[in-house]
Amino acid sequence: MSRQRLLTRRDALILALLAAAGILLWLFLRTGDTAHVTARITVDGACIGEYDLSDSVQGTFTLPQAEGVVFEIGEQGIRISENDCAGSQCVHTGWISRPHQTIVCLPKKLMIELTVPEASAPDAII
Amino acid sequence: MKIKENFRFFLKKAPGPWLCAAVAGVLLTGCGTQPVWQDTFYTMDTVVTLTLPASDENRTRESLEALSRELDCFGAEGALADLNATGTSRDALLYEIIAQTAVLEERFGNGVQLSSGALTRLWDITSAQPRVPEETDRLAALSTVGDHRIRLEDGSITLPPDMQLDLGAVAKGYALDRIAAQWQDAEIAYGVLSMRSSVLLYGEKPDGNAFTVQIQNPDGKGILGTVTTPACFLSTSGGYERFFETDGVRYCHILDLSTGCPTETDLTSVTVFTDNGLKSDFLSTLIFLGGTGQLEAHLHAQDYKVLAVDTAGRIYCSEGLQFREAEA
Repeated sequence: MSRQRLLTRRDALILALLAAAGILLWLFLRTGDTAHVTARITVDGACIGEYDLSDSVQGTFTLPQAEGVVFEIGEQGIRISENDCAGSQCVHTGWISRPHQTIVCLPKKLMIELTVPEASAPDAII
Repeated sequence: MKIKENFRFFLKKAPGPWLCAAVAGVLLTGCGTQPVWQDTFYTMDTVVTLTLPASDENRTRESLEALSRELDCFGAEGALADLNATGTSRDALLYEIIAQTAVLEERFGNGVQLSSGALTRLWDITSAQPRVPEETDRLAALSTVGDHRIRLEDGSITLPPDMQLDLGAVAKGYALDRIAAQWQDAEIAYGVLSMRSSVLLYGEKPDGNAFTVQIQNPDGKGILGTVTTPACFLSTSGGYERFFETDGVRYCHILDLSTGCPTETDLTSVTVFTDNGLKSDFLSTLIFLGGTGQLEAHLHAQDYKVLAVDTAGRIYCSEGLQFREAEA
């Protein structure tokens, strides 16, 4: 009688694929996936729009709750391309694309925050 | 034999449970976090983010909004507006701010002055129409600066004629001190109050870990790195967010009081970590103004820690400050 192996080659392949899937899922949840950066736009703390930067259509757009503001999503991320506010701090910020970066318009109490699913966010960003 | 056969059968026919177990294992490692309450609101000319344990009540937002009214030098009403209009005040908050700042000025010199109000109002850099003032106007405003001429006596503040106060260099830091005292009275266990350029890291985190602060790269290209710290106060100063540009020149909002013009420092960002909010705010401005030439002594200070970046992108860090640079 020939010696039988504990696992056939097919069994080993299935097990390896499952292990790989598990590791990939673990990595995804631990380190965050920068390909799925979400831009969250709020006015006075209330969310007026959320955009997955890897999925969204590129170009400029406006939102009814943010009068006078022109947003733009492009290869470089998201930015405020025009704003009729005093100061223009928000326009000066330019493009943002990385997790935790923000653009703020104080006069309009408007903020764009970039987030990723993450197990451990910092306590503060300065 | 039978066990091996069953094992093989299980793998072939039912990979689902294995995948579920893997997913469950991963998700469970994310559990154990305490519920927290977060709020975002706008006051003190900035955006404020507040994190507190969900079980604690707080009056933090009300206190900050009240402080904002009292300390706003561009407002129509409030303690500071009154002082600037009449030249006198018996307001306890203002008295405390001026007195505490005077102690710091005694130690660190007059690079930061509260009496810069006439000058900041002239430049008005964060307004809708900033412009470069005429030299005569600028020199006239500069002549009104000089905190040593403010008289503090028995709870009473008196300003010389034409002097105007602007508490922008210390107001947010002072607000952190007030809130920390309020949280202590309320026996709050832990909290984070971020006013964007000044942050209070308070108490003990539920997971027992140190606080982590992500420092943005002043060139706008992501993260400089992360500081790990026990509870403390921190403030940052830089010219990369608030400025105006005209005729190809960028004017940042922090003024050099030896010239009355926006500073031309060779630092792009300074963050100070210490045990007092007003001190962190004062020092981040002072060190920013001083440039790399005056940085060395600050890097060796015992009662505060500094992280600074210069225009060449070089990072300076106090010994003992746990800073990890972000990977490129």
